[in-house]
Amino acid sequence: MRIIQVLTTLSFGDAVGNDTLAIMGLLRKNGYADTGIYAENLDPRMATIEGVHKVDELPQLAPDDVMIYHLSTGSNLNRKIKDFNCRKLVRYHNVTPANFFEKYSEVTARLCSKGRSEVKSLNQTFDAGICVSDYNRQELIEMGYTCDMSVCPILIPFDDYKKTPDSEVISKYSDGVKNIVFVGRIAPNKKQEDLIALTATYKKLYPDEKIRLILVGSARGTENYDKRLKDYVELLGLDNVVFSGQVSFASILAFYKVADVFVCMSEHEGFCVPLIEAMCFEKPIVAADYAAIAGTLGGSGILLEKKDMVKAAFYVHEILNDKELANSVVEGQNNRLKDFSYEAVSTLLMEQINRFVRGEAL
Amino acid sequence: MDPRETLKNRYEASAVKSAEVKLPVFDSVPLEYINESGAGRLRQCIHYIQNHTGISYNGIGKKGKIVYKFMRFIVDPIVAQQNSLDGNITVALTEFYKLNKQRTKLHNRVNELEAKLAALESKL
Repeated sequence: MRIIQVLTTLSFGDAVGNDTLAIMGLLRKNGYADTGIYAENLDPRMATIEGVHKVDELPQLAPDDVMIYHLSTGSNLNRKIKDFNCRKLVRYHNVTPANFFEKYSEVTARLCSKGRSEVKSLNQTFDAGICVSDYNRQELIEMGYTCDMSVCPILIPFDDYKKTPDSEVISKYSDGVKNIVFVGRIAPNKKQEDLIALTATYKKLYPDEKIRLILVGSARGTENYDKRLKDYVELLGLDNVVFSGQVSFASILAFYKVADVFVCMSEHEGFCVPLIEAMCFEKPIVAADYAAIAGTLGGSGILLEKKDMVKAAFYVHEILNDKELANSVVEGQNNRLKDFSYEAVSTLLMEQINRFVRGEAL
Repeated sequence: MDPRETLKNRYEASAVKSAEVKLPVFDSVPLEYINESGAGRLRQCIHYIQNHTGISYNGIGKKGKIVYKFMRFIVDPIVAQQNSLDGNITVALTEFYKLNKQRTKLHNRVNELEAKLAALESKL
């Protein structure tokens, strides 16, 4: 009996890719030596990893074999999944709703729309599901999924965060100016415009304080949204907003290091790994309450129920200027972080996978 | 005390709560399609053409694949109407032609070699 993983795209360094690789390692450690990852699209850097294959190389599966299918995008592969004669477990990462992209890219909006339709069309395909968040689990239920479903967070490679950060970035942004940081692709669902509005509001409320907004993330594929954000910065007369663009992992680590607060205004996340990363670097988090954000924070950090920029600016101001308050936020986050440790998540995930293998409820 | 409660209480008691900050809204910023160089510009050209011609596009892929599909489905009808289109589409077409030049050179070379091969075979 084999357990294999299948997905549309195995990218380098993203949450889905990291989760998939970590699960492969976990399965091997737990006696499932004959495992592998089969992807329709493979980043060349992933193709050389032992056990990673193109989906064309998928061997014939037996009825008692288990396929863990990572569902995070629309694809031709989604339509073929029903034809595999094996037990199927879906790991749902979420697909961004199309409305966020409608103004910016018809292609992307159509892909997102197609993706979400495909997720719905698969609602009787899987024997069980392990979702990365309760938000995602609820979404599948709303889409008509009736199979047994559980929640288990993404397996995060915490050791990677101990790597050496870029010293030049640290040096450049350790100049006494307080840094508000957000890490995430420049993408309309992540609402970087609200972070810019927050910065402008802060400047009006506290004109004598020096702060800087650093948006860490690539704008590849969203160049027109990126341009619009930069035009907005100019319109607001701000000179303290940094767009990092695509940067190295070492630079990302450095940006976390120089952050004084991590702020998130994203309106759609299936899990939001950057929140965990900010917790890891002990940076107090202020985040708007959308999608899976509250679930991932789990009562820690500071949640904004509504996007009131004056309130948000006040909260950020208090955190930046009250060390005791900031520390108490971080303390709560440190406790929450334990729930995402490799030990905690891998134990939970293996329990759920083993129950599925034995035909038991997750 | 829970820091969330602390902040809520402080905000309720603060003078900032009644502050009014009026900013231009993000939606007031015009959305431009063509304003960059390189791959970003090409991608914007692609989006512009799709959004303004309604020609459907199947699948995603590397830049070469995108260009090839456009060559098949878009260039011929658009070239015929080129005079009636605005500068943005002309720019987009120019970008596509540049990328396609390489492909056309190769295609022509293949045709040349096939013709030579046919000529040689006829002499056998």
